[in-house]
Amino acid sequence: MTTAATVKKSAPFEAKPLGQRLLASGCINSRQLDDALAAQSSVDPSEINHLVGRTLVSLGHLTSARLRSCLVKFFTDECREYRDNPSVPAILSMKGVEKRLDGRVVLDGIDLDIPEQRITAIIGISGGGKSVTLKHLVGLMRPDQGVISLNGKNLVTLSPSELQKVRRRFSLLFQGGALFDSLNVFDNVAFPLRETTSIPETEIHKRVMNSLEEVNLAGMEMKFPDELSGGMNKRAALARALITRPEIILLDEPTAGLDPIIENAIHHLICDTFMRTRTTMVIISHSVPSIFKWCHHVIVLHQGKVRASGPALAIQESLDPVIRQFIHGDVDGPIHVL
Amino acid sequence: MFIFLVQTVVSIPRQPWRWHNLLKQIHFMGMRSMFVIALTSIFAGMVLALQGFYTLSRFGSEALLGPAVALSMIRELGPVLSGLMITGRAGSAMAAELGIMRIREQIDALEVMGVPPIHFLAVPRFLAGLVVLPMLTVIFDVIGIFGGYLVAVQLLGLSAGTYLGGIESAVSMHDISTGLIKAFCFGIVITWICSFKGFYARRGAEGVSHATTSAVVLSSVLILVSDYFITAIML
Repeated sequence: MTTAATVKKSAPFEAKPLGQRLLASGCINSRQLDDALAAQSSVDPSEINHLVGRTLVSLGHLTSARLRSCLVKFFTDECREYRDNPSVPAILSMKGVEKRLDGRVVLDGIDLDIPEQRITAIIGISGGGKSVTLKHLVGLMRPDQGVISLNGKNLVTLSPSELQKVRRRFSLLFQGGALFDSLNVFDNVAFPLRETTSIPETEIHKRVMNSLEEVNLAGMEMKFPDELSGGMNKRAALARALITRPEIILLDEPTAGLDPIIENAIHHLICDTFMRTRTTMVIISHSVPSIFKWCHHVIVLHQGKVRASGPALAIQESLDPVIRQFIHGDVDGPIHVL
Repeated sequence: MFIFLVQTVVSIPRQPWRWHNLLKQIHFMGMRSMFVIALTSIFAGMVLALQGFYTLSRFGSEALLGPAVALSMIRELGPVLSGLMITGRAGSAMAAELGIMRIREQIDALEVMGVPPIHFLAVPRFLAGLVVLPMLTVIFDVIGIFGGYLVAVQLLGLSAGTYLGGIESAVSMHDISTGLIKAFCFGIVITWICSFKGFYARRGAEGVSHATTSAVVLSSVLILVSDYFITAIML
């Protein structure tokens, strides 16, 4: 385990197409895969991997539950591979970032690297600077000192119009969802496509309906945010975050305030999305220790600094007393709360 | 606050032009304010005529009632009372709506999506204010003068010809343009202040409440202050 992620420039990660992985694991046979690919013959090639799982389910070659368990198994195998070989390029970095808010030091020289095409969880006690870190990564806040870079490009020195262009590579799922109250679910999810792309309305309609189906909100498109439950709001917000197929998705406490079943469903959804799209994801979560099951890489923030950063499976076995107290939720320990 | 105004004005010509948002704001500020404007103006005209008749009758000048009501409406009461009514109705709603969007991170969501919040939220409101205030002022003036007519002619027995003829000879284009310039300026003040206060609301429900109150108070005060200075310049 290291205090900063071990990253070095290497060949970009290439995952086998999902269909091939399902075939190799014995979840489907070659005839079933051929059927699914034939059914997708009119689909844009870039969408094939994205939709193959759903196509297999709709053709009856796989149940949804079986597909979910296959994806979780693949993900778990990847996490083990990552633990054994965590050398991947960093897509986002923070170096020496400091930030004061209302006179209080929130970030005290943060150095972190977000590995490309992996799910990274940022954990730490409440008020530890996690959400502030996330806001710095997307440029919603500027540091008092330090550098934040995306593929080596310093985001801090960009002009507002340059930053606006860069932001289109990101998507952020806010803790409260941040759906627009005056728009229904359909218009909320369609919003980023309508405002930032020139995709025709018929194509937008198709993508939005697919997106809502993926998050299990089909039939809810005419509802307004105040007519939805907390879990539904989060799922609608997740659909909106995913619809533009961003390179990087940041999720601020995606399961906060949700019951255990919905929490698990959201985790499955995130895993499913990752396996289909290979999008780099950064998750802020208090859902410890369950978050360790759903991410490759973990960064532990404590008192405004990075306490530890490394593969989730390695961090989970850490002997650091602060990390152990946090993972196990012990009241007594080096973190004083009572 | 001035930087916000400059950013809003500079954003106006930038594309894409969101006509739907602008029309929605014009509908909200204009069409949906018609009732309150009509109600306020008719009673303002009526009370002006009533007070004016008794004052002018002391000097035997009842015949000047029509011009008195019309000039007061067109030069002062029309733009000022329209501005105050729109501040209370649309301005407070604007500040509250933007404030709630701020505290619910919806404005941050716009920024993250690469949609400039000022261009998306403030510009349509600003332009709607410029369009709507003069139009509502004209409506206010007409209904107010009609309200004065009802009291002067129907109630107090002044002849219609005297009332209306006096208006025609007394009111000039300069009077009308003064009123419209005031309305235009008040439109800027209301949308600028109320959008700014909402945009930068902080600290939850209390912050939104504070932003809304201070938006209405500051806009109202600035309307009255700028009214004096515009009047002094135009006279």
